[in-house]
Amino acid sequence: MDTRWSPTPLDSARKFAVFRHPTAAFVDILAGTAADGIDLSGYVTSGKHTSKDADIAFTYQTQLNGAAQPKPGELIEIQLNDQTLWVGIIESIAAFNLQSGLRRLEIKVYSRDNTPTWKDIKRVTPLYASGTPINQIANDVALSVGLLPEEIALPLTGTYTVHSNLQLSNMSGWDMLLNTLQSSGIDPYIDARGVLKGVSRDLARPSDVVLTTDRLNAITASKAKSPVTSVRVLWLDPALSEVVHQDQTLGTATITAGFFQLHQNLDMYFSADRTQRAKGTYMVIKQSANSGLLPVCSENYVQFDQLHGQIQLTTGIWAPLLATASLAEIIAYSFVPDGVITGGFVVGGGQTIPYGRLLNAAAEVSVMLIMMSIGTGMYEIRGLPYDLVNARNRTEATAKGVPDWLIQNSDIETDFVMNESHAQAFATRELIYQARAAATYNTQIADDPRIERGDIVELPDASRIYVLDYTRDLTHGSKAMLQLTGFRA
Amino acid sequence: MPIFANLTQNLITETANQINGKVLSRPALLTTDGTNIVYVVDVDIGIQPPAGFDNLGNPITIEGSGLDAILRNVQIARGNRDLIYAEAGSAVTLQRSASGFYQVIGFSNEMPGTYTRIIVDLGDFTIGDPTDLSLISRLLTYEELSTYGTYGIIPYGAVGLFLGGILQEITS
Repeated sequence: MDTRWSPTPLDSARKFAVFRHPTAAFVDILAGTAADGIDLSGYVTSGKHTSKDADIAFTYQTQLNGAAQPKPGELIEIQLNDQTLWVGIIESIAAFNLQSGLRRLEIKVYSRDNTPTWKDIKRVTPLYASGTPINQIANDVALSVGLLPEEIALPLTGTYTVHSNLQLSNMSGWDMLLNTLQSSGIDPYIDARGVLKGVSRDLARPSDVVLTTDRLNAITASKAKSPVTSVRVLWLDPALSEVVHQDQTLGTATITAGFFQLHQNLDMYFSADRTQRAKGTYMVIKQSANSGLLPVCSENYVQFDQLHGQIQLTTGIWAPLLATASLAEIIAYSFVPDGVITGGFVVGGGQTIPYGRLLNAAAEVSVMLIMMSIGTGMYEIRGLPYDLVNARNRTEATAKGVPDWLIQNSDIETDFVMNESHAQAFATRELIYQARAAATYNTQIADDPRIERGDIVELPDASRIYVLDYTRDLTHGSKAMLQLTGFRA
Repeated sequence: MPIFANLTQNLITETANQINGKVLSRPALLTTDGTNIVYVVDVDIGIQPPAGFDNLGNPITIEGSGLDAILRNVQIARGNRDLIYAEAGSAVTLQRSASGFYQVIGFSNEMPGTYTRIIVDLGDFTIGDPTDLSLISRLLTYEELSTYGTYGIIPYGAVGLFLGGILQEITS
């Protein structure tokens, strides 16, 4: 409701004025500082305006020729009783007619949001972190389409983003505002003076304007479409869900262990790209490194984190020590003077055996034994791979008592729902709004400039109308009436 | 499921060539000729038929209707070994052919989650209690193996399908 105004008294005259602003911006008119206004009221022969547009016809002789003619892109200000009533941008010269001595010019004027800048040009928002208030996103979008801070008056909401790395893209500024504010039950709306406001879609709130019987002229109702009986909100759960797959092989490895290295550690990632998570992993020994001549190592597996573990083969400390000692022994025995054993160890005879060679051979046997104890193991890592995925929850509000054959569903997909209770409130509000919006009510009342789009107007019989739009006749001498279009709240 | 609910559901799904789903059963061998094998799974695509009422205003599809929303025996695309190991509860992507034939073509980053229904009286705006229609498929615990059947009859590793927390099916 526009609180600048009071209801127009019954049986009173309205004084309209139409000004052309060749250079002023919306904010200048809003602040009352626009000094470029050219009064065209004397040439207006007919006109009407809604919350979104205006059609004005001028009749003149030569006064609006050349530079004096309103041009597309200029602002048009409609005043009521010397106060700004509505401001828009000239979109086009809709018609021009030349008669003998008279010219007739018709212009089409739109509110500032009905331009390609708002409705067509695709935009990209900055990246928003989790916990960002949606008011901030909506404000950023509004600033990006050219509004100034004093032209933004969106209601504060308690909604904030629940997903990290949220970015809107490939959408028009208007679609971004719709998308952002939708879950809070707010429709973006450019008011009569070009200020971005939000109107509530909640039909359970108190009435904004209460009409008395003497201000109501006529009501007509019609049903244009079947009502929605079910609204389903599809929202992305902010908590990731763990999805576990069946036990399976995550990786295989072949490792050779022996005296040459004390520790053999091999990192085992659960996928080639090192991104697969897994839990409950374990090692299956397909062929042990100890299946050779001598057991040479211990075989263990440890999971380090959700992405990888490690196969650990630890060679017995005796192997490298014995190898080193035996080599030293060989070298040492090489320096032992060769005594001679005649006839062997036990029985004397005609042969000689160098004593040093025996010592050397014993040391070499020890080394070779260790070298022969090298083992190759084949291992398989198994476990339960899992992923963390987003769940798209569904919250459905269904009208009570609707027969099967009347069911009509509407899906709303959004990422701006915070939790289940928020989704339920959202779905319920949308069901009530969309179900009621199916039947159109046209109401003619005594002019009341307070009424804006989104207002709930209470009629004398206590029924209520949610205002979707209004039409006001600007023609000189027209009745001081206001045509409201909406639905029963 | 009533025919209009069917139509509504079809209108929703027919516009999507790819949809996300949640596997409700372990892949099972459907057919084989000895060389080629066809595995299939049951998949939840997150679309429950809307609640309907009879002429007296009594709900006729609200109870027990959730199982109608399951796509049964959806084939798994060939040559995808990982999918054969999909466990009940896995998020998958389904592709729809022009004739409406679905097949599982891979894992997904998104899947159907919870499903809650609330009944709203449009006359006085009163709101009923939420009904949980979420489909969850998971391994049964040891305790559940005993609770839901004679202990020892249901094998370890059996999968239970729950609708709103109430057991509907057991598969192994």
